Amino acid sequence: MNSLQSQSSPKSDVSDKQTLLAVLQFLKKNNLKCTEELLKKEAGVTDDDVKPQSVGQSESDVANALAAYKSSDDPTRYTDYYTDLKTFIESCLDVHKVELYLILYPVFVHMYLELVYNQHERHAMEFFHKFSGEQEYYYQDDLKQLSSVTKREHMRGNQLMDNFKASRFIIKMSRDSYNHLKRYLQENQMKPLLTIIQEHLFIDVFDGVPRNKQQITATGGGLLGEAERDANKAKVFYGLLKEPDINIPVDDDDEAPEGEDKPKKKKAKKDPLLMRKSKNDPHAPQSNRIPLPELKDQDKLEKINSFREAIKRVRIGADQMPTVCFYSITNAHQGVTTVNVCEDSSLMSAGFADSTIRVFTLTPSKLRGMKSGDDLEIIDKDSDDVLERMMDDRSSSEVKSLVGHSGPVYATDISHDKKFLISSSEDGSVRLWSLLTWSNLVCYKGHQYPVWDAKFSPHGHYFVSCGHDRTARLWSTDHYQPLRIYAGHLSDVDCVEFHPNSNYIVTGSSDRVVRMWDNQSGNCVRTFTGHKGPIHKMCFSPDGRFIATGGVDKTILLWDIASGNMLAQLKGHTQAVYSLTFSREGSVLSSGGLDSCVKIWDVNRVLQEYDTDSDATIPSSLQVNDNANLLLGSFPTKQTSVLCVHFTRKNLLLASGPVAI
Amino acid sequence: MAEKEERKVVDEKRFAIFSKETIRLIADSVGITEITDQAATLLGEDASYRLREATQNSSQYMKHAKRKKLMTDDFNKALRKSDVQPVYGHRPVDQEQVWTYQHTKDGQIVFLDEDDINLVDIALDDNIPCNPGAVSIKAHWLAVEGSSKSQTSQGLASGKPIEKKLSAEMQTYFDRITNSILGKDEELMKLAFTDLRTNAQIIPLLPYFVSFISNGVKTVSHDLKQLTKLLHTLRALLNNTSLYLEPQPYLNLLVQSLMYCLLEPLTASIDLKNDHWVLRDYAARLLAQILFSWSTPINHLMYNTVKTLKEVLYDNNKPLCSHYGAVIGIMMLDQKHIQEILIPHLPVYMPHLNSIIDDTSRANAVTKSDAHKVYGAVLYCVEYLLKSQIKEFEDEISREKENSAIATASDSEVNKSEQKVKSQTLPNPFGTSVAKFYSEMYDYFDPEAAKTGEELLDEFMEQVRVQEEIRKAQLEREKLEKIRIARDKQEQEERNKMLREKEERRRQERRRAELERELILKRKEEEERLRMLKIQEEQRLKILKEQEEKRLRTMKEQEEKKLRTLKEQEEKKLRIMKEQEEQRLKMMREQEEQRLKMMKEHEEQKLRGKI
Repeated sequence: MNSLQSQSSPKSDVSDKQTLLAVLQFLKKNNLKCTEELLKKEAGVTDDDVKPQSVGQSESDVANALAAYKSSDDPTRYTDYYTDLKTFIESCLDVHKVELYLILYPVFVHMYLELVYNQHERHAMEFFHKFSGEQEYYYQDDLKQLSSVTKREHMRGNQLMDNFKASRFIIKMSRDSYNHLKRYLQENQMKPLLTIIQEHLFIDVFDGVPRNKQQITATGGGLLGEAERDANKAKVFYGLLKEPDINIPVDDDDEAPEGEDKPKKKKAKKDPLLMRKSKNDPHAPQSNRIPLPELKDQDKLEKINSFREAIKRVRIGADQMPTVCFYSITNAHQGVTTVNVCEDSSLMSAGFADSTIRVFTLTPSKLRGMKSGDDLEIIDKDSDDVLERMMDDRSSSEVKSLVGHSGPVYATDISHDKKFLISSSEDGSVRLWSLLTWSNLVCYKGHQYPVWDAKFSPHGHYFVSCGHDRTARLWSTDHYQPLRIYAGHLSDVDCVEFHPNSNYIVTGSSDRVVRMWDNQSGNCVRTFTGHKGPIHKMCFSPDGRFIATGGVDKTILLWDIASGNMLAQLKGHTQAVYSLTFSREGSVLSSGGLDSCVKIWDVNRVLQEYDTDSDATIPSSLQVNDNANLLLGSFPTKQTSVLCVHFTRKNLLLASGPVAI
Repeated sequence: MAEKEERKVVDEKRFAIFSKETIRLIADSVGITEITDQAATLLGEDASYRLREATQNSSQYMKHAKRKKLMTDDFNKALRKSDVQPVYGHRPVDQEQVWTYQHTKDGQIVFLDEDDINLVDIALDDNIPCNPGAVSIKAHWLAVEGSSKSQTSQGLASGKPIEKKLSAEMQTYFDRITNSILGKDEELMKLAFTDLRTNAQIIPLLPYFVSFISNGVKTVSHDLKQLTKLLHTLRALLNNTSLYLEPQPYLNLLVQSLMYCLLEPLTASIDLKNDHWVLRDYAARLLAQILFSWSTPINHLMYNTVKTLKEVLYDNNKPLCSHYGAVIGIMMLDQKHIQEILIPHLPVYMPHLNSIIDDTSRANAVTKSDAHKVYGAVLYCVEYLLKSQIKEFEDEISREKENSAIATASDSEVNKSEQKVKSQTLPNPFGTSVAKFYSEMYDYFDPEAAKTGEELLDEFMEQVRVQEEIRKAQLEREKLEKIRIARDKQEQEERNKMLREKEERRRQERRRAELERELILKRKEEEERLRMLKIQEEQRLKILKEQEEKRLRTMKEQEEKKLRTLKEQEEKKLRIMKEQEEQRLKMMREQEEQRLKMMKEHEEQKLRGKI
């Protein structure tokens, strides 16, 4: 059931064997003899192989991993190597210059680490001070971390070091530029430079015109460079699932039923949302691609309701701006960490730093608990309003608290049927709560460290969580162990989101990369690089084709899932972006963050200006829309940071955040 | 505890590093006394690195708590993550609190500066901390259909006049001009006015001059001379063709100061020697000029001004000098406003004014003279209106004459009569003829009108005097003469017309009398007819009654007859029936008797037989 994904970079046979031996070592240590025997048998490893390896394991392990940095070169020469490389690049033609500049950062990092590893501390410091300033601004955070490493002992256990030593830095480059570089390296015979480029860099060469500065910076910024071109080749079924056939009664109570029923029926069918669902989308996955729970009667009723409301919704765009209703959370002295509004906009859940969760009602109907077991037995189970009778009016209130976590609650999410709430916390657990009994049902323990985010599948049953342990995990509510573990991010996975068709999830990480994963196979199918800071919020467009991402770098990026290309950069926020949402028909994107501002962006215009014919295989042919006019409106609050934006089914924009104390 | 604070110790490197001494001190505190220099240095460096790492990791917790500020809590969480005991006691009570540290004398220990807390004081304190309230949500509209409420605050600045720094030259120019205007040197003053009137480069100074006038008017209201000078300034600005007064505050401010001069009971007017009437006349003229050249339907200047004048005039509580100002102001505008505002008010106003004039008590002397002034102004107005009306009338007539001249001579008489009819039917603003209006007005102004006429002339002279200050006196005199001649002519013509009108009126009266007579006759006839009708009606009624009675009588008779016959018939029938009965009875008796006889005979026979 679990499918552990290893890092994408290829490993040699030697390291494979090492891993195997390490696993055997682990099994032996924990006295799991049967498994050990079995594994030995299968892998064809003898006891002798294991024994000598285990002696002095800890030392040889590290030594092996870091051996790449072992170099007997004169430490004073590194500065010269680097300067030479720089002068060469500067002497190149302008077209190649910008591309070749890309190799400077990884070369700089690895040279520094080599110096540190070989214990030339003073030289390392000098080298760092001399050249760290000229690196790109978006690498400065990493450089700060790097500069704190001054001894060989520090390199062990440092997350960043692990990433640099274990993976290659990926650079996309046109063939011309690559040939230039190759010629230069061959002519000058600079051994350490050559080793670094051969061992720690992966240059992805493409045929075509070199990219310009703008294109390079648009997709740059990842912890380890850009995504390989092959990373986004896999086919993604981004279409929506075929809607189950429900007879939607068209004779709406609100509308005049006299004789006009027929034309109205046609009108309703013309709604693009309904149209699209009725026909077969070639990009949609099979409805049984992943098993989904069957629809209950109540779900069907809810679907009908949602259709009805969707018919009445306001079309918003540049000429029809949305109305924004802001819910300020007052008296939250303990600190609000997350706010979330449920799909039908009737409930709002908030997580607090004091480990509590509160659920507020946004409608006049109050929150009620279920009756006790004895009382429930008296109820006539066949009556039509059995659900109504189950509820206890005495327990009604405007707000309910859920207490159970032992650390700040970092995420809450309410299932679409409004029966469950999922929450994740700093204590490493994910908890499932019932919104009928207002109590904790399950505590899912799988993550080692803080769980940053958790999300329900739009179809219920499944949920996904992610956290500091650099993994995202897919769970089903009826299993206490995860169904999938998605590993591949190089740093904390900060946020996660379900695709509207539940077949994919997307994760954003502190390694400044957004990855999309297939829930069926567990593979990473898309890698989006371009963010210059940790990603904290992502959002799928209602049609499932586009994704918007935002985070600490104050920029919102819009991506096309079909091609894996960046469509637009939306710049305007002055602080980290923590909330994003598409309007219900997908024409407008709303965002909010720590700068206490709700902003509205014109997605329709991006899509109009997007050239769908451009060849995705040549990076230099891509254009990113960063038009300043895409910002339609900006609505500042007094001081309240915007932690949640949400469009109701009728396209009223709800926003929420804690009042600054 | 001391670990964290030690980071303050600055090394020559970029990062704070624990010194050997600190490490020794810490080691000492846990009971390790012997520690080599090398070990201490290494430990110090390593501990520093771990702290840096923890600090870097703690920022992740800050980001996920969606804060901009790193808290001690975040650091503790980062420590716990790397299996280190958290540092207790540094949780801030207040988020804004800044920690202060203190060193011991020998500088080896750094500790947190904390106040002593007196528990007794806290226990006895009345200041019970209030409940901060439950966590709740509050909804409000941030924007409605894209328009944000908070954005309206940006538009506030437009209301204020823009304060711009003047250049030094402009400043000195302004000072010079204003000084010379308010100064005593007449030559300089004249120079200043001519410059204001002609200089095209004073545009940037316009707001300053406007505020100079509007503020000046209020501060020097005791000094007629200065007020007049200010009005001169205003006039000079008005006549400067390069100035554009339209921008909102300027025009309003200027009109306001004019209205002030025109309508307010100025302090200067308390002194009887001061001729404030002239100032008012002057202000009225300027007001008219400003309104005619700058009023647009958009700025409502005309409408607002007329409204104010009307309010002042209709308010009997206002002093007479204000009324005078209002009348003059209206007169200077145009005859349309005289017709619309002044004339309808006269039936109310004239008795009020006359009552003041008629009061001959000594205390009233001043008011009376004021009232005479107003009286004169009203009279002047009416006369002006009349004159213009007459002129219109004459124009009409002359046009008609021209027309008739074209027509043939034989038709001339017919034409004349037509003309008269036409002149009567002409649309007239007074409802009736000019003459009638004149006579109406005559009612208000009693036979002493001749006297007031002189006053009127005086007034004219006064105005002329005001103008003398600006224009040359000779020209004015010539004009005056011309006006006088024109007026004489007009008056003559007027008289002629009066005669004509009177004739017409007489004819009308005659016609009316005839009509009345006819009416009386008709009424009489009607009455007679009515009487006849009544009589006829009565007769008819009588006949009808008689007929009815007759009918009733006959009907009764008939009824009785019928009844009688019926009774008779009944009796007959009864009688017949009785007879019949009797007969039948007789018959029956006879039969019975016969039968009995028969039976007896039979019996006898039987008996006989038996026997």
